[in-house]
Amino acid sequence: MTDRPNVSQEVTAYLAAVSEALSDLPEEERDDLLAEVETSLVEAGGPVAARLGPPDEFAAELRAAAGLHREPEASRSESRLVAWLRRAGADRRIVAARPVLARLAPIWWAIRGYVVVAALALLVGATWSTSHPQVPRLGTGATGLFAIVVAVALSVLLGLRGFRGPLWTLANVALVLVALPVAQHLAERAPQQIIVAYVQTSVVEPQGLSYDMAPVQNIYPFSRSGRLLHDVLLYDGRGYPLEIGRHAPDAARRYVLNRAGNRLYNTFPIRYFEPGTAVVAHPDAIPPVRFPRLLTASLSAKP
Amino acid sequence: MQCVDRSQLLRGTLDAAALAVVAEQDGYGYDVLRRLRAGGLADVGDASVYGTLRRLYRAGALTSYVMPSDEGPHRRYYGITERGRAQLAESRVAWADFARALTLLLESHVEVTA
Repeated sequence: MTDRPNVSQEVTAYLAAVSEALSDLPEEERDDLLAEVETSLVEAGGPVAARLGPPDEFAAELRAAAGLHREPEASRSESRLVAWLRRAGADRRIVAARPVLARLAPIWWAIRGYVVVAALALLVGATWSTSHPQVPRLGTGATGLFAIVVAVALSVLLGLRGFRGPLWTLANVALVLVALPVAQHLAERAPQQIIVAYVQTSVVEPQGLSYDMAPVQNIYPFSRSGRLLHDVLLYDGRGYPLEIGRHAPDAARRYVLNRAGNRLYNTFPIRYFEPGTAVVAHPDAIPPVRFPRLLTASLSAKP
Repeated sequence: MQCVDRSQLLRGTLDAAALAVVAEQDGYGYDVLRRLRAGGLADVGDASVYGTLRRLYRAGALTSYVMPSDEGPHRRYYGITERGRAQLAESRVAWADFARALTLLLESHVEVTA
């Protein structure tokens, strides 16, 4: 209803009375009807009630012509849910969607037949076929399958008969709700997809030196000329020795000792004795290094 | 005693009449009412017309759009849809058959009682 200053009090009162008489209609429908009446009243002018008659009678005629019949007394006792369904069914969007829903209806008819059987099977705690996880064992899997086929056929038959009405709608809504636990059950019984997830729960820091997260076992320092250097002591920028193997004493390792007789773990390359001896068999052995020829002048070279 | 109850006649034919008026030109409720009355249906009631238009709209026989008006509230115009045209065409045939049959019956009745 439009609230405009040029709408007289008489019109406003008349519209309010008509609105009251149509209060059981969906709000949108009622407002559209009243907007129509308001336009008429404003344009026609003159005494309203004299032209249109009592608001109750006008509302009754409006309702009858619009095909929006008042609910019979017997159905007043229907639950609020049923009343809501009735109103929802009259909603313009629902009405507009009906042709599409009607085409999809047969799919639902088939589904609800299955839902009934599956829900009953869940209710009685029946076991389910392992080869066909969607089929409950009603005695046997074959019986379950037969029950499904019969239920689907009956459901489609009922759908084709075109039963309508709020109670029928209510039953369908109930079946939709029942379909939820059935769907959950089917989802749980579906062949499990193996999902391999690599979850890094902790980072294992390599002990000692590491390079690109991989432990460094040895270091081979070379001179500019490509000669392998021995017993080179390495330190980081803070002056800490770059040590390897402090926490894993190795009897075969040739340790370099300081004057105090303590082992140094930051001398490279690390060399190993021949088993049972104190001899390093190949002190100049190196990994397969392609040593580059240097262009840059030596910093230690005198200018 | 009223020989022919015009309101009853209207009740059964208002859909066709409203569709015919809107098919001629889009119109809003009060406009359709005036055109129906101008077309000879002087007895047609406001509520019947507005209700009929809403019902035909819900049934998909009419489409609807709102236009602002300087004279008052916005006007909801109705236009006919393809479904409405089909319904109107069927109504024309049905009415022609009915009118022809009734005319013959009434004429023969006059001859018998004359």
